[in-house]
Order: sequence, then C-alpha cells, then structure tokens
Amino acid sequence: MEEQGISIVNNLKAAIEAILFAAGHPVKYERIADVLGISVKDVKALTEHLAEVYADEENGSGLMLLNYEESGTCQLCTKEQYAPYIREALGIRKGGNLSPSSLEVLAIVAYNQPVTRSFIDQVRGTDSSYATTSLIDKELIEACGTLDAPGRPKLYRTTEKFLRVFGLTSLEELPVAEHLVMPEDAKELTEEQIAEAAENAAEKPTEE
Amino acid sequence: MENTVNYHIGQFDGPLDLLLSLISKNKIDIFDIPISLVCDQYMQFLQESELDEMELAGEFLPMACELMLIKSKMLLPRPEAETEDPRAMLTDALLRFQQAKAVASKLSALYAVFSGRCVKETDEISIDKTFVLEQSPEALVSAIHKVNVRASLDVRNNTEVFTPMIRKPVIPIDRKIRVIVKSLTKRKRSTIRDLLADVESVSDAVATFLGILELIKTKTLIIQEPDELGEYGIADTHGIDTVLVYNPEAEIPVIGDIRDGDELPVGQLSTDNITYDVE
Repeated sequence: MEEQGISIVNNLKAAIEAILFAAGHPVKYERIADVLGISVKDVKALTEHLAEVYADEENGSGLMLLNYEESGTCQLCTKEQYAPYIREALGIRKGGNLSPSSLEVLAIVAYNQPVTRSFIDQVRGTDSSYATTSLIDKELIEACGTLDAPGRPKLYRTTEKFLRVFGLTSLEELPVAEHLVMPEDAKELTEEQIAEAAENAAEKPTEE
Repeated sequence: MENTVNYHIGQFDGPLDLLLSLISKNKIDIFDIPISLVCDQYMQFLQESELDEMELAGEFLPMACELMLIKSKMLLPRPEAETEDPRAMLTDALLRFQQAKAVASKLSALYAVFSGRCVKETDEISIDKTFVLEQSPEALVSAIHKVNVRASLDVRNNTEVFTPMIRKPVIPIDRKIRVIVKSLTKRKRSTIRDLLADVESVSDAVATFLGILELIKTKTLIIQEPDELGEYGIADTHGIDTVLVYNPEAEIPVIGDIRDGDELPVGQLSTDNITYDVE
C-alpha cells in the first residue's frame, strides 16, 4: 500500500514536470491543480519539493524550478551556470547587457509599480520612451491596465521574466535602496563574484 | 562651495542627473535644497557648455525654468505652513531618481549572472491528422452504392425529363386573343373562369389572361356592371368572377384577319406595340 502511495506521488511530480517542460512559460498552480485533480496547496508542496530536488547538486540536474508566490505560478528554467554550454551548443551569442538608461527605467518601474510612461519620464527627468519600449520588447515590463486620468495612460509593471533574469522569486526580494539587502539567490554570490560580474557587465558591449 | 563647474553636458543622463551631481558636489541636504544656489550653478553650467552640445542642452532647459519658478516662489513671503513647499515635487523626483540610479548598478550585476537562466518556448503540439480506421470497408461499398443510386435519379442528368423543358413552345398572346374572340363571337359574353377553362398549362393560362387584359384595354371586351347582368346573375359568378361582354365594334389587337382554323407560327409574336415573352 505504501508503495502505491509513493508511486502516486511520483506520478504527480512527473506530470507536473512534463507540463512545465511543454509549457515553457510560467503555469498557474490552479491550472495544474485542476488538471491533476488535487488541491492548490498540494501542488505548491509538490513543486517546492521538486525545486529542492533540482537544486540539490548531487542530483546532477541542469534545471531548476522557480516558484513565483505573487502570481501563483511556477516555471522550469536552466541553471545559470550552464548558460555558456547552452550558448555554445546552440550557437547563440551572448546578448548585450542592459544599458544604464534601461536599468534606471527598470528600477523606477520595479520600485514604484504600476507606473505610467510619463511618471518614468518625470522621475528620470528626461524622455525615456526608447528605453521603455525596449524593455517592453524584452518582456521585462508589461502593460497592466490604465490610470483613471485624462488620456487613460497605460500602466506598467515588471514581469515574471524580470524576476527570473534578476535571480528573484518575488518583488519583496528587490534590494532595498537605503540598506541594499541582497536578494535570496544573490546571497550565494560572494562580494567578489558580484564585483566581477559588475566588471564583466561594464566591459561587454551594451545595447542602445 | 564651488562656484564653477567644468563638466560637459554629455556626461549627464538628463537634468536630474546634473542636479544630483551638483547636490553631491556641494554636499547639499536633499530635503532642504538651497534653491538659489542650485539654480545659479545650474544656469552657469548651461551657459558654459560647449556650443556644439547645444542640441543636448535643449533637454536641460525645462528644468532651468522649473528651478527659476521654484526660486521665485521661495522668495515670495509664504503664509505659515499653509501652502506646499515649492521644492517638494523636485525633492520627490530627485529621491526616486537617486534610488533608481543606486539600484540600477546592483541590478546590472544580477542581470549579468541570472540572465543565463533559459526557458523554452511553448511547444506546438499539433493535432494528429492521421486518420484512424474505425469503420469497416463494407461501409465504403454501401456508400458508393448510395451515390450511384442518387446519380441515376438525378433529374438534371435525365434527358427525358429535361427535353420537354427546353422544347416547350412560347405561347403567343396573339393566338390566345384570337381564341378568345372566336369563342365570344359565338357566346357574346363569358366569365374569366370560363375563358380559362380549357388551358393546358400555367403558361397557357397566363397567356390567356394577358390576352383578356389586352382585350379589355382595347374595349373589345367590356366588363359588365353587376346590375346589368342579364342571364348571368350575381349568383352565377358567386361574386368572385367578372363577366365580360364582347364588343364587336372594337378593334382587335392582332395582326391580320381572324379566320377559322387560323394557326400562327410558333414563336414570339408581337401585337403592334406589345411584346410578351411567355414561357
């Protein structure tokens, strides 16, 4: 009987893995719960467990499972340390880093979301339409409604992709401006690694 | 406090960037900006800019106006604690901008590391278009049988049914008019129903009726008033038919004379100015 119980759980975990692989994009816990006929709470427990299994270096997995609390979704992605292998295998050149303007716009959106384009311009004190549009194209920010004001300007917020490529799982992990507390994943990076990454970022050609 | 600045506009990412630089250079408290000083230094900076950077300077002009406006508001006597600090909006923008700049460099480092996390595009799982056999071959045989039966019954392909349709003659109204006149010459009067009694087809009936109308028009036939009905009382017509009386003095709208046994060639005929094509 216990063996049967375990294999049911394994079956569910395998199903979740298959769904997330085929989807590629973040999938809602609710959706998985509906499909598998289990509760959202159970889905969360299973995905957390899966995340741990992937993360454990002993298991030799190049993948990781991201759980986005705020949007109630989860997603499979590759571990960043294998990016060089992937790029070489697929013949992809490393993409340019984000320009300082783009980063400023991104920061403004991240900390003040949701915001309008004119708010962004106001805070930066300069026209930021190019950077904003570029970030929308890169799917790091997205429209999310309109402001109840003349002209009904669009409001923007950060996306799940934003969280992923900055090593965050929720907006709460954003570095606090004054004290600059590091996000969870970044804690694993040493000061030297961060400095080195910053140096590399400065050397590589930036887009724009 | 320095009074001269030796920067180029191109170094700055906009007026707020320049302001922040002036603020830090002068060690100003951002929550209590000495507007006069900042405004003067800002203006001095713009004036000392290289001429070839004038196009960039355009971006900095609105802020120059803003600073002057705030400066003048500060110079005016303010009622105590009633109006907002004119510097409030500027301070707010500066703080947010400062925060964004500070975080941007940290974000840059994070991005450099974590942008290596790749995800797949959603898989296109197409519906399998291969047909899976679920029926017996006999079903095909009975289907072809039904098709054959239907084809043989198809009226369109059956020449026996089709031929009379294309061979059907045009019935000339002229001929009908002669028939009516001949008949009424003997009877003197008739009802429409009687005149239509011998028609052989719908086309025949239509041609006869049009003939009647034509004869009424030329007053060859006259519609009898009800109270003049002679042997045809109202009871005979049951109130739903018309009695027509032959008027021998009227013109007959046909070509040529009427003779017994007159047959006109088949085909379209026209009576003077009338042409009907009755199929």
